[in-house]
Amino acid sequence: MSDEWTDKLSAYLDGELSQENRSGLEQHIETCEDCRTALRQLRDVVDWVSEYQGREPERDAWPGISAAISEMKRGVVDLDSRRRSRRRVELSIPQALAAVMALAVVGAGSWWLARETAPQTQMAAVIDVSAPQAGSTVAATIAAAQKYGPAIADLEAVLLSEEGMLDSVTVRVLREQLAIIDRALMEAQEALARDPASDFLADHYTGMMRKKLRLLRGAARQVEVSS
Amino acid sequence: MVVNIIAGALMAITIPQSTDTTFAVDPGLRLELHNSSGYIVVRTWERNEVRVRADNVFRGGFVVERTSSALRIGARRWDYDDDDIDYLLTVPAAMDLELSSSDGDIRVDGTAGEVTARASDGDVLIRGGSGRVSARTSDGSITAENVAGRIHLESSDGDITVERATGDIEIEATDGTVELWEVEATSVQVDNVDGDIMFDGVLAPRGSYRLSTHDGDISVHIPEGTGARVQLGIYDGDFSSNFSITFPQWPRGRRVEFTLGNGSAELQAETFDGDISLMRRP
Repeated sequence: MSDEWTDKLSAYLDGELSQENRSGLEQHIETCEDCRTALRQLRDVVDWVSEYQGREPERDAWPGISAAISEMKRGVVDLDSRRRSRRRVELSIPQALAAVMALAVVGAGSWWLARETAPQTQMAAVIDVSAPQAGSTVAATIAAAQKYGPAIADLEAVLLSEEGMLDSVTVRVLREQLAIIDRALMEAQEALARDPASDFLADHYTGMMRKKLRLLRGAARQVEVSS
Repeated sequence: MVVNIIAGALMAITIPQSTDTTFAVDPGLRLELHNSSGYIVVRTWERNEVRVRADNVFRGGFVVERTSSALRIGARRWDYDDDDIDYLLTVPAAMDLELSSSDGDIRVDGTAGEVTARASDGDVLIRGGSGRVSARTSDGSITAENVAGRIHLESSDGDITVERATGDIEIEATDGTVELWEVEATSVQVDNVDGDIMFDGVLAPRGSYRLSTHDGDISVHIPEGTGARVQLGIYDGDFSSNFSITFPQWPRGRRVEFTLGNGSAELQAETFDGDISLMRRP
């Protein structure tokens, strides 16, 4: 098996590879049984996670998430009521940007670390925001957050329930990695809120989201293989 | 004594505490060694033989299996999964290697073949290697010296150091420093989150070099006269250089582009929280 290609499988599934890399990977897969297996397992993970029912949460995590978002003082609307009603709420672009990114970051960042002091939580988060009226950077960032946020939340929910399938070193390192990436995401989010027109910050934020998704998919794959 | 193992054969070696066995191997055979716990050290020689010295073989022993393409060595996991076996192997220099250890360091010295090394909890050192060279550890450092080809290194928690490398280099790190010394690669991609990146080497014409970290400094040392289109991004930090580049004021959160020489290579360096320096090599 080639790490060179296996590490591109996640991006391949997300349609994020360049044409050159995509062609190269597809050519490689034809001759590499290990990579074919890895790709099939990764697809299984994506399917498994999307269909995962898991355990019933011991408490509704949403009030905590909503409170955390509110503490960010970004003028985010009452997401708790939004979630229940699924009404469409008109947000300004900065509000929408903050809301989506906050959801992605808080939903992503809090679960594993928070479980040290809080009961197990499970969260699945999708937020419906108005299409941005202007600002390609804002639009791209919101699109990235919408694209990766739900998948990240789903993966976290799976790992939260199934982390016992992983060895202690893996769990410890994974927690540390998530803490580092979540901090980076939070910092990038705060910077973007101050400077929403920055392509550099938008790309940086999106890159960190991708890295987190890759990390979680890898861990979920380990869980699935172990189980 | 040299033992011959025919293809498809399975040999269980259960000598307690330690053993020293040598196998004749055909050229082109790959070595696969998967260890639960304990270090793996691989050295090379110019014989078509594999010598296996194993210590701490207290209970289950280990198994040697030969397939049409590989020589596989591993503990008898169905018996004792928790054996802590230390392996010292001597293999043909051209032999491809696939090594893994859940808990222990991996060290490969002097190989000319392809190397895949994975450690869950341990350091990885590779000296030599060509074709595909891949190393990954969850918790430990990675050092690769005198490597050539497609090089992929990944550490979750630990430093990564590359010295004297050619080919294509991909490095992924989360928490640690990444250093590349005397590199002559045609492409380099380093993605880090919490740690510095240091690049010392030559930018090849039409080469591509992308260095990115969230929280750390990036320093690039290249020869005077290098031709490159340079794109830099800093959110919270400063830029310095002893090339003739001046900016009235660094545009925070914006990318800056400029050209060195004929602009043949592409160099991109970005850090969210850190400084970037672009320096002439002495």
